[in-house]
Amino acid sequence: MSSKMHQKKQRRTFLKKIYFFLQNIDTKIRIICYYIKRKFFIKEEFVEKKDSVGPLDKVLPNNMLKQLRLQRFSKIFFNMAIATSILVFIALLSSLITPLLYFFALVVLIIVVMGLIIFTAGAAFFMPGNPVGIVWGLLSGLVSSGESMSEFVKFCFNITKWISIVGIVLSVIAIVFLSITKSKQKFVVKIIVLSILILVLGVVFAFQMLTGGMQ
Amino acid sequence: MTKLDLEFIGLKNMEGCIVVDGKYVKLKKNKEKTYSCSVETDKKQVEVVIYKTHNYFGKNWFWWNLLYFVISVFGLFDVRADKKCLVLDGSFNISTEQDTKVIFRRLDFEEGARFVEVETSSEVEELSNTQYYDKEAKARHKKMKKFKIATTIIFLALIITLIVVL
Repeated sequence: MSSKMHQKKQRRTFLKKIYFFLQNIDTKIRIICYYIKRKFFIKEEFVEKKDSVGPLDKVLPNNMLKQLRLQRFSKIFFNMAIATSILVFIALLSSLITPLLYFFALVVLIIVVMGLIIFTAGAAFFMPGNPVGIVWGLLSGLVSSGESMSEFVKFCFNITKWISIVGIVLSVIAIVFLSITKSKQKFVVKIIVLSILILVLGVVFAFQMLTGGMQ
Repeated sequence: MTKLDLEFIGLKNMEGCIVVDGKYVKLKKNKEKTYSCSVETDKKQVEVVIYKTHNYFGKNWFWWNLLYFVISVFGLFDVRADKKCLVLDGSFNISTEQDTKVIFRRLDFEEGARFVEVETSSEVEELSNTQYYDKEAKARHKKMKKFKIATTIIFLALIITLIVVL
């Protein structure tokens, strides 16, 4: 009997444990639900009430709204035009410098090759085995990279051409937006900058067209 | 016809934010880093409005900001937004029976306090003169920022997956 009683007691305690565990989960879920409710629903209601009397409800005049929007658009397009001009210069510079780089790379390569030949000759002479084959393999890899450099020059020229087209279009859009906006802060300066930009980009584009043989 | 000279001290980047008699005025930068303009009028009283606001106004604030975000190539070429969302709201009626000079001197920031001190010999009626950080606009700014970050991540992920797949 005592063992049965003991078993019953054990069961009860086990069931109690489960009950408390579930209750604990239940309270935790309730707490989470409460927080979700407070975070997403109660606060929203509060915000809506606040919004209705808040400063955002102050109606701005229609022309002021238009003015602010146009100003922002003109600033965006101006930034874009300037960024494209910088890109054009970088691309142009890289396409002009790369042949020089190619020349210097060749000089460096010759020096390295000479050094390696001396080194491999020395190694072949003094060391057992034949490391010459490995070194020549490496050298052939280096020499073949020279072809990809000329490809890179062509790529740079192509990129410059396309960026200059985009730059001209963006500059024109920026000028149109600047002329629409009534605020004329540094207007003349901006127009001059954009005009020079168009001129430079036009020259670059013309140069690209003339040196079509490079592509 | 009387002449009204306006001078703004301590007010930077206010171009397109100053309206005199319903018209935007062109400001001239002086050597002392002040801005000035002069207006000629026949009226006895002229309304001067100085208003600076954030980019989160209007009903369709989200869609407009989304448009700016897309056009400016994921915010790369966009204008830096004012995180604090400062609003300056000033409107003054200035009598112009004779030639007058009005100086608007910027005051230090204090929530809800006046933002500008008007110095003039003629009569001035202050209709509004307050400065405050717009809390609701700040919340909108945060929301927009989260949305922008999420969109950029999704876009980058899409590009990477496209590159990997192709």
